[in-house]
Amino acid sequence: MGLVLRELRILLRSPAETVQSLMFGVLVVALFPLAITPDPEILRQLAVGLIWVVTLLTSLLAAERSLVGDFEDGTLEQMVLGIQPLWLICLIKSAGHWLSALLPLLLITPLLGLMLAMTPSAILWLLASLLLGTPILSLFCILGGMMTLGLNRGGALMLVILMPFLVPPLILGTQWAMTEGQAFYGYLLAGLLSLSLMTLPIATATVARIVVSR
Amino acid sequence: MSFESWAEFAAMGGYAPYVFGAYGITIAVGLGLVIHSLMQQSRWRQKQSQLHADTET
Amino acid sequence: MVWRWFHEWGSPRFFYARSGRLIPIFAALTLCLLSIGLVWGLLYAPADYQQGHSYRIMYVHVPAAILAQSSYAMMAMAAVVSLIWRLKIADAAMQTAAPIGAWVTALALVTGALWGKPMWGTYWVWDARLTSTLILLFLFAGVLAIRQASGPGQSAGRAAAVLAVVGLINLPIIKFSVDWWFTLHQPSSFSITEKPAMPIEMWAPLLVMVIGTYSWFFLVWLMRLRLEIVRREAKADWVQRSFQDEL
Repeated sequence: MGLVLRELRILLRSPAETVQSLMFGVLVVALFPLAITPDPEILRQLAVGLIWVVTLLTSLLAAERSLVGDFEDGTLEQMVLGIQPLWLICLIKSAGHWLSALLPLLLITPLLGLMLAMTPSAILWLLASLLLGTPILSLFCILGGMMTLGLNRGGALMLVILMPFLVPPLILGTQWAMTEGQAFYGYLLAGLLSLSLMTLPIATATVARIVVSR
Repeated sequence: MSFESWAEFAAMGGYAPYVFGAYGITIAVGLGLVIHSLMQQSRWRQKQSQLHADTET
Repeated sequence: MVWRWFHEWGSPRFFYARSGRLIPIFAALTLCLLSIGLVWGLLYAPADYQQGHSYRIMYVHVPAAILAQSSYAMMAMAAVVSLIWRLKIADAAMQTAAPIGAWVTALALVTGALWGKPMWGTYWVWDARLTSTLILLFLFAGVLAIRQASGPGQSAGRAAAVLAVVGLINLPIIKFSVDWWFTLHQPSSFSITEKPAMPIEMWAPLLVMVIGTYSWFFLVWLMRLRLEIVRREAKADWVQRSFQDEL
């Protein structure tokens, strides 16, 4: 419990970073109509995919900074040596990443949807798919961030490492949103989320031990 | 043989660039990796014998 | 009994001594099978009634595609062994399998593109199999990248090993999701119709090529693995002695 509070306190202390990922989302989405076309028909077709990709990139960008502080001031080492189960700490880290980087983006998704001429029902399904899908992104991003801690070019490395793993949530999420809630994809996405919740914190904990020992 | 002449073989029924391209790239990669492995091996040996020569003198 | 075998082969010295005898066997096997398969497939196999001679690309493309997937599986198995039992050999095996697998995957993609051009009229389509092969290449790239960045040595390989294992679990998930994605978007222009069963004149050379390609993979893998072992154990007595014997 103390850990959760600590994580929250750190997040609240640095709202600048949350604002940064929000700005990133809004700016990138604003670039698309300029780069492609202002035609609402075309934008509407592309909207779900574009917003999903922007969310994915935001998630990747935020991962490094949610771990690097703990790594540099030795907190990570304390956590590995401490009595709390390490997988739980990794789970809390992922939750913190989601709260600080992805939840704010989810909150302004309706705005992004309007920028891309989406209909209200499409926006609702997009939100639902992001709600189920983004926790998977967070879990993987914390795993990737942990792997690249202390390595050169960590950020670019993380994209290379994580891209294949982000494909299934991306596909299932965008499919679910674009079919406006075909139950099949929803179930699969939920299944993927529960599988990730059960396995990834353990993998992240393994990596954390390796990182601390190197 | 399913070709009447060498010319017909070389033409590959009009698909020559694709067929020979694919085979060529495959052979290049296959041989290339073997040769690269052999080269690495001999480079390592050279380095080792140099080390030996250095320690003996 | 099994454990003794496992421990013996897990020791770098034993492995190095024994595996040296396998190299000529694999080399001979590879040379025989691949030269037979290439000549057979290129010259003697009958032309396909639909695709004409362009289908001959199959004899290099299909073995590469099969090997691409199983080389990832073999690499990930080595990763599992190195994570659980911390065998030095397993980590070296994983590290040396990764670049070979990446090359084979790239080869499968390139030959697939060269086959696609005459068949579909374009080098690249976002077809389910092509796409999942591309993602497989990215998986290899990830393992290679993290392995390179972590530096040499067994302990540095552990992060890459975790990545390879997570990838192995994810591989079926990726494959299925790409399949669903494709069936949803499948354009009607090149729907793949069910093909009639291949006659034996066509699949026999394919079988020869597949086995030959596997043999090639083991040959290159063993050569690189043996070099990696003596590199890591360069200070050990047995390496110095075997080196002097060879001189």
